[in-house]
Amino acid sequence: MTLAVQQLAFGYPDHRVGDDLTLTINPGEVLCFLGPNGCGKTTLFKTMLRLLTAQDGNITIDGEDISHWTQQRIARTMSYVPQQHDAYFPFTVMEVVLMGRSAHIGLFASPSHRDHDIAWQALESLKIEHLSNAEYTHVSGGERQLTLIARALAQQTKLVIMDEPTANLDFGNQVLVLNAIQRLARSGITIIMSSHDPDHAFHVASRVALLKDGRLTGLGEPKEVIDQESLRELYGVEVGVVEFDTAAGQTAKLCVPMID
Amino acid sequence: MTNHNHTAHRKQIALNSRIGISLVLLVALVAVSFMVGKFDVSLHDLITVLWARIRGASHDLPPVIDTVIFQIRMPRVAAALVVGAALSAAGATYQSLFRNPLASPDILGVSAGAGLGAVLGIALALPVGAIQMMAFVFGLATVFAVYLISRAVRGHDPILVLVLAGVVMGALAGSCISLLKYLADPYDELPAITFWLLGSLNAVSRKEMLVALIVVVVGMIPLVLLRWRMNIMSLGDEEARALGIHTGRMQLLFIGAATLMTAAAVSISGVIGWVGLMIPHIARLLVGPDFSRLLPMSMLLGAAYLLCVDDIARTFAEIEIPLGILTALLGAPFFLWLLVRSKRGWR
Repeated sequence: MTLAVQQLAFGYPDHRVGDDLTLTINPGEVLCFLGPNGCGKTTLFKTMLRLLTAQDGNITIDGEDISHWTQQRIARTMSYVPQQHDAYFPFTVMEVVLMGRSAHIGLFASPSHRDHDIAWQALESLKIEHLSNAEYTHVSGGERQLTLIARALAQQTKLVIMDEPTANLDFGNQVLVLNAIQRLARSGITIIMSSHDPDHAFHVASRVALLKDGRLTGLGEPKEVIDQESLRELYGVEVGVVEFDTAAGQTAKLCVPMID
Repeated sequence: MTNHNHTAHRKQIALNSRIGISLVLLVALVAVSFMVGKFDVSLHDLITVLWARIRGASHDLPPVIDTVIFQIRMPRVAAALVVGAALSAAGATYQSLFRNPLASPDILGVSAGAGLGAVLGIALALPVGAIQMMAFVFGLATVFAVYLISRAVRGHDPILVLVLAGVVMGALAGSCISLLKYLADPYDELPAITFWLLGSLNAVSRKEMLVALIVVVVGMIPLVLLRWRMNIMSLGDEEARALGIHTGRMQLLFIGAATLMTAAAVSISGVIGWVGLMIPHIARLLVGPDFSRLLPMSMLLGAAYLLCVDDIARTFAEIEIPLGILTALLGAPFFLWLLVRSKRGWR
């Protein structure tokens, strides 16, 4: 499944966030958006999900314009892992994951045994099945993020859009979530994500998109796009990019902030 | 998998059994409510009379017992059940929909609007049935106006605008009520207005009770049918849409249903506060936030609570205590206690 964005202008009715964005996301890739806070990542994602109306240009999936798709059809095609999730009511983790089934369930129906099985498999694939009966409001931030990813899995879409899935997580939980993303990608799911940490793009992304003031300033393989110059332009700070050999004999890159 | 199913299944049974226990307690409470009052009816007499009525036979007890049970207490008990259940169901709906623990059935101004309608009816010296009709129509009209205002205001959080518009319309209706009270005849109309605004089940006739019941049942239908969707709506507008829900329509349906139920309840009982705010919290503590359990539990507890309060209202003192006073007197401290004690109901 190929998602293409053509000359997209996006934003809110009284204020445009981004302009003239053209981009094609190929099946099975992990595309990571990098950019400073307020550069328009979240707004772009919401526009792709049609939670916001595109102000100009269009979004197509396999060549078909999605602007007239029903909410249900969109939800069967792409799922959303939102950035900050305020939990209001103490649903169990299982109940939250089951909600991912709503686009597949009849209007008046409740989840069936089959839906429970699908939700359970989603939990298992992220290794959080032991949490199924825990209250979503009482699990850790990382577990909550994994629960939302499990919900997206239960939605059984070929495309998952994740808005800063590692934000506000401690180091261990970040690794846990990155691992989960890697596993999803290997299972053939296309992932569009954003991150505040360029290293995460090195770890999991097949391509990286640099977004500044709502405009694309770079697009390509992480190793080629992320360097001292592009990071300076993007964030306005000096960051060194170091290369090293991994145990597997490949070269990898990491960012090192230069603190004076 | 089996292990998970086993634990989850046991938990489900435990939660469902709480609903069952509440139902049994409610039935017992109904029996007690038929027995207590100015005229005591023993359990034996109650069963005899009911059994005779069911078989269509006669009994040899004094006919006054028949009158007390069927003419006096039955409409009143039924009204308490219906009003309590309706207010609590509406409260549970608004709390889930607005993700706000302080949402109550009258958050969109339905009670204030209904109050204005009733006060206007009293000021115009209309008969009781017409006053109730006025209350019902004004209650619905107020919420409809609130909804139109929220549609007209764009670019803000729609739920916030809706609630704020409700507050404004409520204040507007409140000031009109004050004006009418100020102008009302202090010997005749004013006591009637005050009494209505404090809430009572004293004047409910069988026919009015039936009409209210039908409206409440109609309001119930979408809530029952869409009970699982409500869980998703409680995640908030954006997430619900990302999960494939057409939230605009769904919201309108839920608000319409809850408003209909509240308006029907308020039109026969007058303004009774706190029930719809407090009861859904207790229900959530007992059975969790899943609306397919929260809704029936709220209704059972709401019915039981209002019945209990009404029993106190009509037996505690020589004169009847208005219901609204009692529900506030009991509800406010209880709610405070709940706030201090519980971290489970919301965050």
